[in-house]
Amino acid sequence: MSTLQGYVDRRVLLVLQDGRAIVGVLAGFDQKSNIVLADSKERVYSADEGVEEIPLGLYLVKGEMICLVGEIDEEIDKSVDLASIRADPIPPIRYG
Amino acid sequence: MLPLSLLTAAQNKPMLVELKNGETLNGHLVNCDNFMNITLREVYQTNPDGDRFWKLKECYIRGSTIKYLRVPDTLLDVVKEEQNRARDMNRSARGGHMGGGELRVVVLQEVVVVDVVDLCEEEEGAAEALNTFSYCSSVCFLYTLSIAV
Repeated sequence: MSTLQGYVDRRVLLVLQDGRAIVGVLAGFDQKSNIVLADSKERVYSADEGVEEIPLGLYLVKGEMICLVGEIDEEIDKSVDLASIRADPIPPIRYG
Repeated sequence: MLPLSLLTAAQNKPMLVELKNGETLNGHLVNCDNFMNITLREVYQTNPDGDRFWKLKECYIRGSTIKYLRVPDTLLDVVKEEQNRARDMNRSARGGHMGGGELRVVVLQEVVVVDVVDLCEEEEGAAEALNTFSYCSSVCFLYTLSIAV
């Protein structure tokens, strides 16, 4: 059985169906992969400006909206200078 | 922690709900259920572009249309606290007897360096002491000498 239990209390990256990337501490989850994210921040990518981090606080994200949950290596993450990164944002999922 | 326990604890608290179509609703939570259907009161609704607003006295949102909810940061601690309390209650209920007990805590670091005997009047106190010790030492060996009569 696959589970998110090992990610609890770790810093994770969520990618949502609308293309948003949110980092935060995984505080909880349930069978539907609904996720509680503490201390969360949205990372807004853009092609001609650095990455902007927008604090969001405590979030409850519906499982249906989640494409990806990834553990963040805090060491590596800290060593990355977000302001220097230029990247197109992830486009939202399109159906049909 | 279960997402739904957080939501339940958010009753009467302010929250922001974003729907899958991008609309947002700001209001106080009146009630919720296991499908995450919710009712809000004193709601400010915005359209997906965020340039039009509506005020609603009360509204019902079907859980399946929700993208995410944003709740007050302080709720996390409230829910954690509640869960700890429930766990402790459970423990002492299963323990059964409520008499005084003796808890012996031996802390090992390579060799035995400390030997602490903590006398507790209440079983609950013993559990608390046990928690404290297991927190402050990474390598420790705990056993209960006698939990009383």
